[in-house]
Amino acid sequence: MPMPLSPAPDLLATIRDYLEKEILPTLVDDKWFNVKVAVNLLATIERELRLGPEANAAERARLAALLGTSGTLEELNRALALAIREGRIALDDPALLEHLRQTTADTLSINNPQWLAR
Amino acid sequence: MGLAENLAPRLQAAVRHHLGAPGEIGDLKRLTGGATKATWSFTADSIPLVLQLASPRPALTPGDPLAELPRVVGAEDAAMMMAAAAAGVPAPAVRAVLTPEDGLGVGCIMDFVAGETIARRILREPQFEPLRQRFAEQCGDILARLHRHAPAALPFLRRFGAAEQVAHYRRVYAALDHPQPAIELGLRWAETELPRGHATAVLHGDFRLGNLICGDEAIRAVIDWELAALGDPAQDLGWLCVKTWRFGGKLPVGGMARREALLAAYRGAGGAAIDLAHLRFWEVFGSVKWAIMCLMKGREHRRTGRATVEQMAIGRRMEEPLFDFLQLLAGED
Repeated sequence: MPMPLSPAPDLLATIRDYLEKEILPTLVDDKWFNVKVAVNLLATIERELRLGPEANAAERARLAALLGTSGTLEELNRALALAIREGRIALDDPALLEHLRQTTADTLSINNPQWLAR
Repeated sequence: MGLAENLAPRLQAAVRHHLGAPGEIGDLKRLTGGATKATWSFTADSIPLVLQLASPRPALTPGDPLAELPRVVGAEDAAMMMAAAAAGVPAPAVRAVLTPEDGLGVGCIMDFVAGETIARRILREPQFEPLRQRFAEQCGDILARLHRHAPAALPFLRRFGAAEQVAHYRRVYAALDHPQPAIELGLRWAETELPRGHATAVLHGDFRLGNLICGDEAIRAVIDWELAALGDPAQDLGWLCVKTWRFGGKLPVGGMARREALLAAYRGAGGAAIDLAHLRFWEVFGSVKWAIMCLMKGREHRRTGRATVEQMAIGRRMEEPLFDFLQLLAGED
């Protein structure tokens, strides 16, 4: 696909801005609530497009180092979850805890950056 | 379903049948609508009332762990609220329990309790300052009264102690087949730290801001009793301290008070002595549990075939309690 004149993040920001400024003030009750939530989700998608690729690559590299193996993000997460369940990694393993803290923080910076600021 | 257009005439008939003539209804207005229930406010002969109806559950396949969650609805929900009120817990007065002949579904009619449920306002508006000052004290008193209630008088309540509960959420999480290392860690932690031999009491099961109708100075009613069960009394106190339910407030108890104040008030009102470590178990596990609930909501459309904006948004909130859980493990508040 050639470089579009209106890249996806710009499209999303424009749609979000329109919904927030022009549509939301005309709504009440559950329609207001659902459009408000939708506006927030559009902002989440914008952040995901911006921050997601780097966060995923970093998570995958940390997982590969923790597990000493390679694979897709899903395969590696599945493997780590299993290792925790079967007690093959200690609950207080510092590398595990640091990985989980970093992964959760990176995901929050996409889903809800305000949570980190509290 | 056709309930919306049939609601007014059916409610009118139900009110005349249960509450007596003339029973003229008016001002019918939807208050809330959610996955588990919907409520409407209305008046009957100018008396403000609330209609509460349980939402039908989505079809669940046999053996689905989601079908095991103890849920108190209809006549049992009404009996629970009446028992709570009799124990001195502020709860809405139940006027009538609906019967199948009413054609309204499973639910009840109760007194409307005026007040505020929105946490953000309770935590920030100046008018609630007196309530905020006494919040921990009142919660301790309410929970001590509830937990003293004889379990035998509420035979429909299921036992949902620490061990049953952790095992239940382990099964729910496994059935969702969406491996999350942080949730896995949370469940392993809970299985290792499980409070053994705890007392068993009648629990509200979802005691937190949002489910408390508040006046300027006092909690006027505890609502949303469908998760009531028999379990560890420390659970109701710990859930109130989970960071998600502080709604941005700085202090642990509903964002408004210190843990020690809640435990002292509970003890002072006749509740058992609960130590901070025991309370902390339920606070930490509460975060893990809420993360699994978010995961469940975010995946619900895969089972029901119907996605809503709100469900999808809740699915994206899973990392909030997981981040809090990891901070608690690291010894942060």
